[in-house]
Amino acid sequence: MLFSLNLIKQFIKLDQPSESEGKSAEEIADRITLSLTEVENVVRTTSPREDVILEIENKALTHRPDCFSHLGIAREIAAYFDLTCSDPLPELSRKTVKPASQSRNIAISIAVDAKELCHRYCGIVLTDIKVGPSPEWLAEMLTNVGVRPINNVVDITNYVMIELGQPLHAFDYDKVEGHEIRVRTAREGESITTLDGKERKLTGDMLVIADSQNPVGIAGVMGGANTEVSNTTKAIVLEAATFEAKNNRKTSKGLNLRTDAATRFEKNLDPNLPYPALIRAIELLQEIAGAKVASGIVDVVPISNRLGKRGKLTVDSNWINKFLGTNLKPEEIAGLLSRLSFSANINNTILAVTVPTYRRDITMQADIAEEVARIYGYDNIPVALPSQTDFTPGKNSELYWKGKVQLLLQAIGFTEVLHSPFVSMDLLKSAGLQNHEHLQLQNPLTIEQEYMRRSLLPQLLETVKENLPYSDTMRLYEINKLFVPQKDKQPLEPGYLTGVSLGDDYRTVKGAVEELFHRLHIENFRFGVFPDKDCDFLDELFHPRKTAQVYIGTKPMGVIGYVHPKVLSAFQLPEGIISFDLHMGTVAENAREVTAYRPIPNYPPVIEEITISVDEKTFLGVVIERIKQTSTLIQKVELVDAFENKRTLRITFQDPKKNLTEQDVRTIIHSFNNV
Amino acid sequence: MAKSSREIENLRLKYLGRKGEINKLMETLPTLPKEERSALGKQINELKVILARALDEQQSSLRKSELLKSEKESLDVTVPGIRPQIGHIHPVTQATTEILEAFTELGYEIIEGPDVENDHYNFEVLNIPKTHPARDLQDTFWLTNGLLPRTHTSAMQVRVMEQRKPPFKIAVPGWVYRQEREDATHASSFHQVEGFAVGEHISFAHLKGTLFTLLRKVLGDETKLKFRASYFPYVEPCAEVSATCPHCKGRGCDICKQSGWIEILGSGMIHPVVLKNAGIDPKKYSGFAFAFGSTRLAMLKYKINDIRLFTGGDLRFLEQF
Repeated sequence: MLFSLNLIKQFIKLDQPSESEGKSAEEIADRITLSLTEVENVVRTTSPREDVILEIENKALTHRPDCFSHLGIAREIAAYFDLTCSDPLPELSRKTVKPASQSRNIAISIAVDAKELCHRYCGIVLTDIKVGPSPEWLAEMLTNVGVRPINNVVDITNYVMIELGQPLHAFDYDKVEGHEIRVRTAREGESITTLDGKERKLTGDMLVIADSQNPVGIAGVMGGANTEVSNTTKAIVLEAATFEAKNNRKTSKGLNLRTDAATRFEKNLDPNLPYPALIRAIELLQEIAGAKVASGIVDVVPISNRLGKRGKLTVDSNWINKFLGTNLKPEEIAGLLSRLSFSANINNTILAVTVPTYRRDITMQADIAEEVARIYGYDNIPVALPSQTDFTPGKNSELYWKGKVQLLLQAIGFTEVLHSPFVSMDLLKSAGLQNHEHLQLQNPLTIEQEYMRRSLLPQLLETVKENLPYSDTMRLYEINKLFVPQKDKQPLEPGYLTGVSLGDDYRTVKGAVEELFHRLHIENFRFGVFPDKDCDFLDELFHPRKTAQVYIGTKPMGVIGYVHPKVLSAFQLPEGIISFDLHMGTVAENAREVTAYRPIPNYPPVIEEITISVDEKTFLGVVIERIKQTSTLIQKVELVDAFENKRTLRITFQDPKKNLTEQDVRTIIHSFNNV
Repeated sequence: MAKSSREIENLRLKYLGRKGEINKLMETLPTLPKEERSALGKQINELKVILARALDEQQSSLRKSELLKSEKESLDVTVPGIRPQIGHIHPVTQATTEILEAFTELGYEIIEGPDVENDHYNFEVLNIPKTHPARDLQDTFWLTNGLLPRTHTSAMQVRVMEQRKPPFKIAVPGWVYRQEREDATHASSFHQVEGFAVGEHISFAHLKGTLFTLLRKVLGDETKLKFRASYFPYVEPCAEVSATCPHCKGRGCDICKQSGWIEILGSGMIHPVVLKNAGIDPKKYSGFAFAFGSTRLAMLKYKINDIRLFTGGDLRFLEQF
């Protein structure tokens, strides 16, 4: 939003010229940035008049419709620098206008049917209008603040809006059927062509301004083409109203029609503003467009107590000091508030604060605290730390173990990758997962990001593929969430560790997982037949005969094996990619620190190698397990050589209490025959 | 002549070992007549000493020549090393870890929450009803089942507060999602860490102190902060925080667009309505909250100019960390 410093300066009294004129535009901009919202740009213009344009970020002003005007910004600046702001509203509110003569009294009837949606409606008929281009100063001011000049009548309504913050609208009086204005909700099937030339279908909850027949405007959003002010217009109905914010927002959102008017109405404007704004516009139209007052001001307040009253709040200065961490006297607080035109009566530590009607955002003690902090300056508030002793934080073991896993995988040579959870149907199809139910976005940015993943593997495979030109071996992993839809409930979001390897054999990758478990002191893991029918891993991703189910205890918590050749072919990847997929929660639950060290053995181990013959049906893992079970003296069984059907195992025997004799070892080996 | 240490050892074993020739000769002694035994025994012992000495001498001269040979050997020390294959930890993980360590030092408990949220926790209880213009501030993805990928980690505030009695200090790391067209500075998913504390005496001054401590740990000891007013419906007062650029220390450089400052986070005192929505009495308790972008920190620290690199999976990028 653009603001002209010249226009702002109309409101800031220059009775202390040395001080206020001494404030450079940059100083003013900095202080607005500190105490209200960011000034993004300060631009000096020279032709034909010197001015400074402040570009103000308005996203942080959704609670401050008063600051969508030069008057509002002027009030703020005056408060920051403790200057006087000459607010024109009280005087304008006291003024009235009457038709110049009885004969001019042209009737307009105004009725508000939708009383809940329109809190005030002020209207007047002006005649003798000479529509034409605006005077130079007016057109220039509008251009400087980014409003396109159209003609003097429209420009004046826009000028009063940027000046005082009240949107106004002018209807061509002669085109208003029945010379009647009704504020009502749209009827079934009604539509209107708005000023931008587009036909808009209206729904029954949209508020319209209608004449005796049809809508002539969408209330607080945009006027209708049927009553547009044109070069031939002689008389106008001038509207200044307050429309209910939520309904206004719903309508403009529903029609996807964002206008300067709607931007203000949706933020809950002050119902005290239409009247003085109307007076201001009348005066300008008289001065610039030759307008003559032709009716009295019709001022409708459908529900009387909706007219904004000055808010009254009681605040405790002790509470404010406790809340802000300050040490301000009640008088100091009152002084800061008075700079914002909040008045305060002090009784001991209690302040009875009266809030201006245009500050409808102030409803509670915390709001007052914010105003005090803003004007006092955030920079002046002390710096302190809360007590360290009153709260003992619990430990997040899942995150702790995740950190350990990341360090171990780094050491083993795996690189961490992270992906967005959004995937495309194409990717799901390539992975063969399209028949599983996936969470789906209503409003994806692209079809590339329409679904939420249920496996980390497809994106990892895609990443392998993208990196193939630079690298023919890869070890990648991701630890992240999967999203499993649940009927009428929030989805499950289990965390998984999924790794992929290109260029390793099965034993190497399996060894990595074994080492990972080992270093997390997880002892009770094993590798079993895949797939375990009791678990719901997305089995189609893995080779049915080259994959193992991973168990910790009796719980199937993962898989390890070759990625299914069909999947690899769909991803145009070479065969031989190995993956593991482990449930992180189970890993974290079972991981341990070293609980007790094992004493260093006093007696040397005996190491023997034996060679056995195996056939196709032999699972070597099972054989080794059985060998281990034959004696507690067996410390380790390693596979050292495999040739044709021969497997050479290196077995380490050790007795913590004595030297093992050849005879001892031979007896144990002898018992292997039963295996 | 033995030519190597091993040959000498073999000879030593053969003649002087436990089952060596000398011992075998010794073993024959008892079979000999008594009078021959002592003389022969003496001779065998002499032989043993002579042999041992000869072997020792031979060994020491061999060792000398071996050492001489060793000393004369040379190596091209400029030959490239063979580096171990160590993996890499993602820069966002590294940044998050750093932030969480700072939180832990300040006594915060770390909690994670659901990525898929409902309207209630993401908006309603945070004082952002459906008709509120502030909904425009965050472009929201919606799921076909009516839920949404959370737009901020603040969605966890009320979830946590409902389950606990103050005082508490909580940090929530997590991914958040925005329906924003992706470009170098906007991604549909990014990572943040939420921090919030509630207690009987929590003040705006505490918020400032906490952020000073935290940001100096993460961005460097000389970091200065600027607090300025802003607006989010779930905090009151609201403060936008800028830090001096860690690269130029506030002098102005390309990273901070010559301003010397970097907008780093949004913060404020938790709105009384939010506390009330969580069942906490705003008359008795107060709290502060802020959200720190881990993705943003990583970009800032490593001068990364394209946010899309983080989830892009390009190893030429990831292997730099």
